[in-house]
Amino acid sequence: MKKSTVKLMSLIGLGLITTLNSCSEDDGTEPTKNITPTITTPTTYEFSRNGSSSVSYSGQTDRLNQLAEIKDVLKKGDNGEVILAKTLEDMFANTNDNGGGNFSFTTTKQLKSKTFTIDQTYFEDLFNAAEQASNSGAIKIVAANGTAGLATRASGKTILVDENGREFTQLIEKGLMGATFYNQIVNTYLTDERVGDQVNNADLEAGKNYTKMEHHMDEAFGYVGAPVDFRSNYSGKGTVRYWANYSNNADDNIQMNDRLMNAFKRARAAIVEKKYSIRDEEVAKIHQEFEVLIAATAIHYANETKAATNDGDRLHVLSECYAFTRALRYSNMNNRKLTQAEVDDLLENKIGSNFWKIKEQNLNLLIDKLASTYELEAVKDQL
Amino acid sequence: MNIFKRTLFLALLAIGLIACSDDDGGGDKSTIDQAEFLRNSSKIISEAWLDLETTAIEFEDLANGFKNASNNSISQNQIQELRAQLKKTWKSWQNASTYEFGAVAPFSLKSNLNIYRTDTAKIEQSKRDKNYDFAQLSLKDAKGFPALDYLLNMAEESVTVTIFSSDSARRVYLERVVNDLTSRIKEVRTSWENDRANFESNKGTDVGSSTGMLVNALNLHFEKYFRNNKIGIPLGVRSSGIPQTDFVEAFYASYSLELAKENFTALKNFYYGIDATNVNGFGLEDYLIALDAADLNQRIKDQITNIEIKLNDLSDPLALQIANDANKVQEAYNEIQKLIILWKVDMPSRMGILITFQDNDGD
Repeated sequence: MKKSTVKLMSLIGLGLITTLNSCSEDDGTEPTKNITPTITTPTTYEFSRNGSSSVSYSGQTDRLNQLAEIKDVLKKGDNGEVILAKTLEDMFANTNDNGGGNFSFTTTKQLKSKTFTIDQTYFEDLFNAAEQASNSGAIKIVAANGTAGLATRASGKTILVDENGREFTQLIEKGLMGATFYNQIVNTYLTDERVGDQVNNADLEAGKNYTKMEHHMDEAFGYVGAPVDFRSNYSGKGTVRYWANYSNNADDNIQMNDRLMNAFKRARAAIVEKKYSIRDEEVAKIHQEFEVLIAATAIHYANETKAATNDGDRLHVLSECYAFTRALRYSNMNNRKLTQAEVDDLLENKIGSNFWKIKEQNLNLLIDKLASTYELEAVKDQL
Repeated sequence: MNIFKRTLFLALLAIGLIACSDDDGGGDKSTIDQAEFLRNSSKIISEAWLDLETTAIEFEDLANGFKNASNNSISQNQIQELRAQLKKTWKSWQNASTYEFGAVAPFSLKSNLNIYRTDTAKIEQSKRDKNYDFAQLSLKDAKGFPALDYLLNMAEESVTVTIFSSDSARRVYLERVVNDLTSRIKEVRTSWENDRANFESNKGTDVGSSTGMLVNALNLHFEKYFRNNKIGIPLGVRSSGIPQTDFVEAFYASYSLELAKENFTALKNFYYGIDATNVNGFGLEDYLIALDAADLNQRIKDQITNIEIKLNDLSDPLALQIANDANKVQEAYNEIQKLIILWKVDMPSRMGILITFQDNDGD
């Protein structure tokens, strides 16, 4: 960065501080504060060094693409075709770097090894159950309490559910958004081991344009599925995927996009400027805001469940609600608001294992618990 | 460069000054008597819930007597009374159902009371099994007004007498549907009344303010529950133009349009601020006029009239109307569509309200 640019940046920063202070109602009763470091929030998640980008997260993008192709297979089950557990397992573990021939692209990256360790078998069990249920779907067995098969939605499309009405596509796709993407962000990358003070932020990685610490931040960002210019009221051309897509859904009510993106952008800028107290604040914010995003999404689907008008729609949105609520299990131990036991209580006692038996009062308890924990009371009915 | 820096600095200062101003666009709110608007709205809403509760309790008494009657004492008169009470309660529902927001929202009254088409196989199955629990969401399409419509109006009067005479489980089922409906309405009215003072004092136009919630509720109802459910879906807008006439409200009783008109009149009255005794108080109309948006108010009023003309051009049974002359229904639908733009885009923007409800059927 040229010196004049740095000066310009600090001038902008100064301008902002001045203007912010001028808004304060508190007119000078406070003594002069110690000078705390500040940074300007970057406009986009784009950073460069020596004229070329220092950001890279192609491995994360590969995994996002892998999940999209896994969903394509699951959709066949929803459409009444037989699907094989082996296909899903090969894709999950990326056998032979091409998902056993099922991916349209090759990569050395895989989802399974990045999935919350003790839940890898949870997904493999679901693959097996999906194969079994798809045999029923293929002979047009209609789903009912105790019977796996196809449930029809208002749109006329069908979904494949197990004997308890749980939709495989949602439990697996949204499940992996939690167990893999979110888990990697909060339990791998946004930890002291990866972005803490002992991580190298002085030297460039061999043959790369980024430091280790910068790269770890980028890898976390890559799992969000957000375009670099993502923001509130987003109207840009970038593809909004996975978590970013759900952030966008909550954006009108709680400005989720800015809350999440500003924290990511500021954390990365703080790493560049080596202002580590800001980095720590912003990383803590990402942990917080991500939980809010998950809770808001779970509340949204609980509301949709209450409003659903037929079995297919209800089981579909309840499966989403369940999977998003379940994602709270993966929150970082040091930054979470709900204990594991509280999350399990929501899953086991509020939603329960048989989706055919869901009751309104239980969904309201789930909504209230999440809304009060994550300060979403004012918007809980509108999410 | 120096000049550039100085300009930038000044620009930033200017931005800061603008951000400090209280007047953040979206109309001048200082002239709005929001207290009067909220008080009058609250009065209209309370009257609607009270009337619904009163008719539901009457219904409960009738259904209770019906259940306890001995097998061969069922009379045509009893069926007539029950049918009339169903219609009365269902019409009252058209006046109240819009107001499912705030403290009332968690009860999901719309989806508990009025999912149509009803699942007749589920009704018959549950009635046979006898272990049905109306707290389970999976029975939402086997209860409420549409289930009562099926039970009471599926056959002509004399046949209905015969069916109920020999089937006490059917009378029990009907009574339990009415009980479920009544107890939910009571819960809702209680929670509304408990929250009423809070509603009237929760001023402003932010997300979560009473006015914000009310305008969102009005739009959600008009778009999804009026336009889609009552007109659009039977007409075939969700099925590539192929009519789905079994999705009309009151499929068996065939007074679908009568209910739709009742509902539209309720929406209109709310817009004007007209209460149950026909007194025209401070409504959204007055709100817009106070915002210096009399032109917008006039366009809304004209469009309300256009819709009424088109609705009056149709006749019940709606299913038959669609089968015989769907174009006329489409015309009504098109006029409804125009009001949605005025209510959902123009009005909130003048009031400084954000429309935040989501009506996404997608995944």
